[in-house]
Formats: sequence, structure tokens, C-alpha cells
Amino acid sequence: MPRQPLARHRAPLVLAAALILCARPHAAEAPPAAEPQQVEVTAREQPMAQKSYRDLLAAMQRFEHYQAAHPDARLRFRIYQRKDGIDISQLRVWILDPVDFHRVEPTLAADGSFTVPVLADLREHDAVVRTNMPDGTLAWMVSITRVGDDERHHVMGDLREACLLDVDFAHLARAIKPPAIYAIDAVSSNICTVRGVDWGFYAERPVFSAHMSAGDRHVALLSDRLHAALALPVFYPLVDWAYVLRDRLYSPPLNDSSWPDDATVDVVYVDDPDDGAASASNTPRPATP
Amino acid sequence: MTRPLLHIAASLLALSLAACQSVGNGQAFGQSAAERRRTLQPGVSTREQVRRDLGQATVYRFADGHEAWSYQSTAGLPKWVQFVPYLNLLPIDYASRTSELALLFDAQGVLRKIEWRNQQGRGVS
Repeated sequence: MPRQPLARHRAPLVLAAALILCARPHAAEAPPAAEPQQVEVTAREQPMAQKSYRDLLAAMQRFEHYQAAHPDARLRFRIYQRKDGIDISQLRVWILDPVDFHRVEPTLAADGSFTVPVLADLREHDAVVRTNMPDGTLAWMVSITRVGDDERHHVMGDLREACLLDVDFAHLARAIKPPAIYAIDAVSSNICTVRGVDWGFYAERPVFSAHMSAGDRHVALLSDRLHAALALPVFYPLVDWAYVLRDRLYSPPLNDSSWPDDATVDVVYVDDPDDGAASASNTPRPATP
Repeated sequence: MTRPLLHIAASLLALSLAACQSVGNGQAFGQSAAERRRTLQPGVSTREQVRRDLGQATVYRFADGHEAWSYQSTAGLPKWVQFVPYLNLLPIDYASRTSELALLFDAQGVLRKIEWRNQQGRGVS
């Protein structure tokens, strides 16, 4: 079952913060103490961003079925900078054994992606995959790409599988999951293909457009499916994309069954070469059914 | 509620569901080819010129100063239907069609990219 670590605890936290703010004026009116009070402050280690090692292994195991049918598909776990205030170039990742405290450091690629080795003792001890960055500053996602493909080119089946692995197995991305989702997830083969469920992906750079193709059908996603254009600010704390990643977000319609798994999605970056003055695109495209 | 009031309420609801929605002054999809060539010149047209000719767009601002402008025209069911809990689970939005003119301006406010898009219902066509 998907977990909802942030959303479940957000309301009490917000309530607590509101109560603290409300209490301030009253505290200011209190008479000063006769003697200065000595307060001992104990430093506490800041929690670091981490995920479950077992969950990553579960995603890898599930991916084996998909890879059997698509040998050139490659599964990676990606870490992105979610908020300002950290130096992502200093990111490190360890698999940490909570029993004997030994740790294994996976190789982190330049794009922040990694895989984990299958280690029985770490699985047995319910190890965690921990970073050296504070909790809340990173966004994690499952990534499936094809060996040799351009970074802007994606396959719908890979995106659907990556979403499924993330939601049902790896539990990496923060997402808004209303209670009905859990019931739907229990009876669907892939929650990401259910009507009403949307999932986004991060391109390598800011995105202006995303084009889908299947056979002779070629279209561009509406701006509604870029940068979470229709999202309400009240949900921002519950998701990953609302901060530095928003420029890179695109959300292809994974739940639109008219697009087969071998359909492709190609993103156009903001800094791609400009349209020429005599651009052929300076004409409305005829509406096609 | 009396019968006339019920009729009025039902008529207003039907009208709102069947209405056309558009962003801007409506000219994004109403200009002649010559007018369009004059309004939308990559490397030349500015934000101010486009706003004057096509009206106010829906704008997304990138962190580096680029702006993506969107002019949409939707016929059929309005988009808010897609965001009503449980109503959005029903396949009722396939009766709608959206056309979009998407523009990219650089940080200096000069037009760089143009794209025309169409969507049938929730999916894309």
C-alpha cells in the first residue's frame, strides 16, 4: 500500500504552528521575571533525507518482469534538489544498517541517479538509504529510460511503469493521495492508468513543451500538463515539484488508454534553439479528432 | 422552489456547462493570417505587442525570467469539471475541445517560440 508520510502529519503540524503564533501576544504581555532564567539548549542532529532500502529492492524485483519484455529498459533511482539552500553537488548516499551501523555507499551518477546492490543482511535489518542532505530538501523518483536514448525522449510504457514502481513499491515521491486512491489501488493493475490520477516527471532542464507520438498521431500537451499549471498553492507543501523543480515538470496522460505503451514523449526545452522568423508553426494546426 | 425558478436554474446550469471559455480577447484564434504574421514574429515581437493584440494570457514564469504564455479556447464542458472530486472520475469531459496558442518569451520579453495545440476531452488529440 502506498504510504503518505507527509500528508498524514501535516494537519497537526499546521495546527501546532498556528497555536504557537496565537500564543505570542500573550507571552509578550507577561511581566519580566525577577531573575534571568538559565535555559539549557541541547543540540539535536538534524534528520537527513532517507528512504527504505527494502522498498527500493521491491521496486527492483518488480522491474525484472518489465525488463524481461523490454531488455533495453533501465531502472534508476533519481534524487533531485527540491528546495534552495543546499549544494546538491555535495550529495552523497549510503545504505545504512541500523543494527551494526555499517554502511555501503552506492555510486552516485552526475545526474543524481543510483542503483542499490542486493544485500541480504541489509534487507534483513531493514536498512535505510540515507543522504547527507536535510530532510525535505530532496525529491526522489523512480526513473526508467532506454539505453542509448536521448535524455528528452521517453516511452509511455516506461513512464507508466516508473509511476507504478514509485507509488506501489519504492514510495519515493511525495504525492497527494486521497483515501479513495488506496481503494482504487487495491483493485487496479496500475494505479497510474486510472482516470483521475495524474503523475508528473522532471525533464533535465526547464520545459516549454512536450510532444507525444504514436504512429501517425503527433500532438503537443496543453500547458495544463506542464509545470502543474492548474494546481492549488494549498497543496504545495505536500508535493516535490512546487519549489525548484516546477520549471522541469511535465505530466503526460498516463491514464489515456488511446496512447499505447510504445507511444513516445519528447520534451522541448526552454533553451532549445528558437523558432525562425518564418516558422512553420506560426499557423494554427487544424483540429484533428 | 417554484417551477419557473427551477427552469431558470436548470437553464443557467446547462448554459454554464455548454459555454465556450477563452483566454485573452479572443483574437488568438480569430486573426487573419496576415495579422498573425504581424503579431507573432519570433525574435521581434515583444510581450507588450502581443498583449496589446491578443489580450492578457495565462502566464507561467520560469526562474530564469522566461515566460510561457497560453491562450486557450475551450468549447463544450468547462475545465473546472475535471477538478470536481468524483465528478472527474466520470467520462463526461470528452465532449469538450481545447485549442491553445503557446508562446515563449525570453527574459528580455522577446518572443522566441510559438506552438499551436489541440486537445479533445481529457486526453490530447
